[in-house]
Amino acid sequence: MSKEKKCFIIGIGGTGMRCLETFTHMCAMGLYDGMEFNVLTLDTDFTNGNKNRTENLIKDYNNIKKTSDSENGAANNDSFFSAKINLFEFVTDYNANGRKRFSELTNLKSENDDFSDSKLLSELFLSEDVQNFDLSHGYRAQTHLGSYLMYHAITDLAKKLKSGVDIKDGEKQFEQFLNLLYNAKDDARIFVFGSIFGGTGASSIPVIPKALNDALDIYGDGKMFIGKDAKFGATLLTEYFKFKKPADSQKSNRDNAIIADSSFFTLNSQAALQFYQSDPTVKKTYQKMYHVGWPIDPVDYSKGKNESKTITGGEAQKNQCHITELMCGSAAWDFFHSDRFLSETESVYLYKSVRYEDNSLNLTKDDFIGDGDNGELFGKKFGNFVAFMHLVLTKNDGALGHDGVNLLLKKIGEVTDTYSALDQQYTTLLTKYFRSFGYSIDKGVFTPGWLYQIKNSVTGKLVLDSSAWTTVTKELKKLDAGQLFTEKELHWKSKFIGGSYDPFISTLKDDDTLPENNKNQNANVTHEKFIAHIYNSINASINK
Amino acid sequence: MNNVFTILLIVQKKMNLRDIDGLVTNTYMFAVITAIVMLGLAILVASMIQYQSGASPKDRMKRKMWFWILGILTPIIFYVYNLTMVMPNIKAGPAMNKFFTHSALSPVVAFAIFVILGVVVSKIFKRKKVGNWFNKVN
Repeated sequence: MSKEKKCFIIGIGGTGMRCLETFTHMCAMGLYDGMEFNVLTLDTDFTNGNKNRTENLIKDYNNIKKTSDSENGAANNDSFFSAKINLFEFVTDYNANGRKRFSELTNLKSENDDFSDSKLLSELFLSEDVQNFDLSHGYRAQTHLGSYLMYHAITDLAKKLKSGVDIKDGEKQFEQFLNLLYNAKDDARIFVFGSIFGGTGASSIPVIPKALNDALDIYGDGKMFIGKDAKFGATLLTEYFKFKKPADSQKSNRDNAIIADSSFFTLNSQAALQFYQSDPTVKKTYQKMYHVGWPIDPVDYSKGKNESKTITGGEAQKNQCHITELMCGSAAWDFFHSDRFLSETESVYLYKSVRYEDNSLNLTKDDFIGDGDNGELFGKKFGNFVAFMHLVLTKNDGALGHDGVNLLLKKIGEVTDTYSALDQQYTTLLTKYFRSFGYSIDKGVFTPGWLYQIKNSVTGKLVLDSSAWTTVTKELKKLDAGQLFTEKELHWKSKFIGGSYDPFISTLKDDDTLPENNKNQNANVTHEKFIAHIYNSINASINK
Repeated sequence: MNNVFTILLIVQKKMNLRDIDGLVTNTYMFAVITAIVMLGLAILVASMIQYQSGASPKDRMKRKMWFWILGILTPIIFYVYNLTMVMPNIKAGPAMNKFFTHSALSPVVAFAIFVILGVVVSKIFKRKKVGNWFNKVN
């Protein structure tokens, strides 16, 4: 594995955003120790709920890591929040006048000749409805249109960036991303998150390597390009959710004449897989493609929402996270950590199977990034971060609206003033992060964060003991953060009365757990030391 | 243990002025021992109080409270001991007069020793639970 590798991640569309959300939480767990990522969020809709949720999460992550020297902090080792993430956004703005539909974008509308080449060509491939629906909520499963538009949105922006005229802030971010990609040359490793059954992601995955390369070519006046040895990877995520079927009444106006229908998602997936299997450009550009599927009934995102019509996008599209997205995050982990198949001249399709018995899916620590040492690593990082979450949210009432991190910090404050510089703004932010990771309780109502949303999509075991997944407030109060696993050897040291919290706090107060004694962690500023201290204490608490 | 034994021997018979000097020395030594024993008890109690979590943990306050309860009990127990076990065995008159001052002073000494040793132990083991005895409560 090259030490010089430069890591890039592109999240496209609603599913791509949720995969990025998972990726961010995996960074927080410490699964990407010491690595730096340039993350590009790519969407057609800047108001999209999933996009905003993911970008806000990454911004919170970066504010947690922020130092006086760097807006996004530094990469650390053997700790939580150990990867450095640089976020870049790009939105193909279809909200402005004259950019709302294909017919407007392509100037077809203004052409008077009904038999012009452009008109005839577009009519050959695109029905009238497809040419005229509102693009501001994405490509609505019209991938033949979406691929064309996404490619042109990227190359058009490259032309604009080259001209240097009237460049907006958001567009500058794409320029920075392009420059980083160019500077990475052959060391670039680019991973793309997105679905292949929907609209924006499915449209973009096949064209994104070529679109970025052509954008660099335009921007650099023929002198810039993606390195020949740069590696591309992507998820081939087939259908795993459904939503309300659009009613004819909703499709009666021109803007909504085309609405994605989830009953066709299986067909879309099949067609997409056939395409990936046979398209020479895709096979040449992507080295590794991870086939992630969902063999059980798709989850219904409209269930219990009492929606009067199909949600096509926008702020309302804020879907729950799903275990397949954690599988996609794990695929990215493999791509960035393993050199296997990277020298192949044609795409390699990777998959792994999991156990499905007695109508339930059971997932152990060995089912994500591999078994053996990788399984141990996943179990340790996942379990330890969930335990940290419970220390903040469950033991110190962070879920109930208190600043759980501050209360935990006060326990350490009894013995050292090392962390006195951590202000309430920081502890509040970290507590907030844990709420989005774990859960919150408002007026007795349990609201699941990422972790419990993921668990909701798994009917059987998910890494931890079933008792660790309770959502009942009374049972949560009694939950022992040191006894989340079924395996006793992974439990923390505990007392017959009072469980593991008392010994954990004693460990936390020991000199041995100070990050100063572990220089490898690269914890230099106060908040990095605090996080590393908690990490060390949790590790030291585990029975061995 | 020797001090306890000596005192027990002395109190078996009524003491006069000649025996008082030895009794006073032993009383102060016993006061020190009582303070140490009570401090040991305070350490035990502090260790048994579990760290509490949540918005208003009471564990630190409980350790402080038990330290001072045992601290206050130290002179009381020692004075009651002198009053019930030692003084009835001293002859009234000059012997009693001489011992009376020390019987009042020795519980104060026991208390002072308890507090001073408590401060020392608390500062030495500031990362342990006994470190809470003299911490500021946030």
